[in-house]
Amino acid sequence: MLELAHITKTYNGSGGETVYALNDVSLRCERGSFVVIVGSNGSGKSTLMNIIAGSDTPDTGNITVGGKKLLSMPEHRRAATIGRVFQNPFQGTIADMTVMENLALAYCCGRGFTFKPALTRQLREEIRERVAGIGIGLEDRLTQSMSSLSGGQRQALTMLMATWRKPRLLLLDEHTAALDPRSADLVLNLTGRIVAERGLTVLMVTHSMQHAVLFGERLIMMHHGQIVYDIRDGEKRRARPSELIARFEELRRADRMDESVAGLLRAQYH
Amino acid sequence: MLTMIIGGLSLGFILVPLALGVHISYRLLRFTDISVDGTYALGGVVAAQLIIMGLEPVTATVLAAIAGAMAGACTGLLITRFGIQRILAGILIMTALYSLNFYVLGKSAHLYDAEITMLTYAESGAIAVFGDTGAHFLFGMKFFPRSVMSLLYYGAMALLLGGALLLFFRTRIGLAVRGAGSNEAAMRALGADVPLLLVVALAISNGLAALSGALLSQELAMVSITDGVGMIVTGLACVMLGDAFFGRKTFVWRFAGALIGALIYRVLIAMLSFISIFSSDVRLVTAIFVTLALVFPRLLKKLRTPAIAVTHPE
Ligand SMILES: Nc1ncnc2c1ncn2[C@@H]1O[C@H](COP(=O)(O)OP(=O)(O)OP(=O)(O)O)[C@@H](O)[C@H]1O
Ligand SMILES: [Mg+2]
Repeated sequence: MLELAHITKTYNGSGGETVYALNDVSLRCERGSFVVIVGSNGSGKSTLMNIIAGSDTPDTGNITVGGKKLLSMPEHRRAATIGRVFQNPFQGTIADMTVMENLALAYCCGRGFTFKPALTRQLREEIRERVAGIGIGLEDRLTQSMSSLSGGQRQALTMLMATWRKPRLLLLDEHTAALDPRSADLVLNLTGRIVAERGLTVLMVTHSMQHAVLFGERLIMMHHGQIVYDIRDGEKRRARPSELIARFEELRRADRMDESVAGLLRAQYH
Repeated sequence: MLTMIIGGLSLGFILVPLALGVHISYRLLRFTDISVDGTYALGGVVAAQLIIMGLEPVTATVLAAIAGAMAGACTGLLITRFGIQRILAGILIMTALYSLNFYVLGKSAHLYDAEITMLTYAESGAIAVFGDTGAHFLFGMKFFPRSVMSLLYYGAMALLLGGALLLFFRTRIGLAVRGAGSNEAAMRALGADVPLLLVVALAISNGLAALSGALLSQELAMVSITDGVGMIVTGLACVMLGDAFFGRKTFVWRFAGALIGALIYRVLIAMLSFISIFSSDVRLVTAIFVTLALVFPRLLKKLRTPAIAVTHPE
């Protein structure tokens, strides 16, 4: 389904040194798999998402989705294939358009922004039904402006918009991190429901170890732009938050060792 | 009094395309597109040159609007293809058009005389309806049949145009234009070609400005390459007057507000010239009005919020 081959992405660091945001990352995900990605700050998770979605280009490597080469396509051409929910709940929806109009735009995704009327009666009906399906009463607020909704409500609608037409791949980059706990639960439950109902292939980045063990059947841990840990199925089901945290600690200790060794070497040779 | 209102309203209807165009760039795309100054004048001179060459005035006016749309698309391409700052792209096109307009007209000004223009149509319409073009009286108030015909023609044009644009903004691409003006990232994630939408929006906006330019120069029977100076501010004044009278509720209301704003603006200007203010002062008055319209809401906000909040940035 999704196949990443030897993706490398470098940035120039503040001191002019080369930062490997992604360092020769290869990854294969089967159709219908739900992959959770964890990793410390700056480990390259968002860079990975951006490169798959097309808002960033890798230095080297190749990406295919369902056999289709992605890298030659600009971001907006990938949108029909890839649904996306951002961390910022205000980024995925258009504030000064109504809920109905936002969802009509989502309907157009993959169908083209043509001169046909946007909101037909039939589409209004479908929107009402599917918004009601979220189950938080937003079907009564369809004609209100998006800006009148809370971050959680907007993120729930973004979930619906990103999956309006079944995308081949859904990318979720800490999509509940900016929400209060109750809204985060709501959006996560909705995520689980939509993904299960429609059999989507998902990559979900999260900082919450609880969510990481609860969701998905595969877990990937990233560190310094590399995949350092990749468990699935039985092993993934048995994983506990405390274990994952222990792994993080281990990686951090290794980093500190590296630093002190480097310091030692510097002290000796200068 | 009646002459003044009829004249003000028909000039107001002629300004409706400009106001709607500025509404698109200023409100929907959120930037002040100065290329409107150039494309407004471009509309005037293209129509003039075509009419001098003997073309039928409606066709000439439509072609003038298309010329404006093409110039607007150029502004859009400078922004999207070459990554030039939005404001600067507008300034570049405005400046380039200043020279170009001179070449189109072949001189810096032209007075319509024997040519057949929209004004000729209004006159023949007046003769057909009222029998002559001399002064008529309604309840003892004087009016000229020709300006009544202008009012009818341009009123119909403005309403049709407004309706057509509202229909456009209900299509999928129209909705996408609105979306792209407000949240580019979201629109990209939804698969919209945002640069293309921006070019389309600026083409429409400047095409509308050129339409106003072409019509107004025919109505006033004169065209000059400096006609466009300050027209962006005039457009802004119309948009803000509309806001003042209609509030900022829904998309349709704000759109209608820009349309009505153009009428109010011209009637106000007509009244100002009635109390004998020089026509060269109109731009100063307009600029002062727009400044006040921008500053006043902020002042009110500042007065209402407690002093401590003032230290907050923005
Ligand atoms: N535009 C950029 N310019 C320079 N460096 C960048 C840029 N974007 C990312 N980086 C660097 O690339 C590395 C990976 O960043 P990335 O945003 O992918 O991390 P992340 O895993 O998403 O972190 P977080 O958990 O904080 O979101 C970091 O070291 C970051 O500083
Ligand atoms: Mg990130």
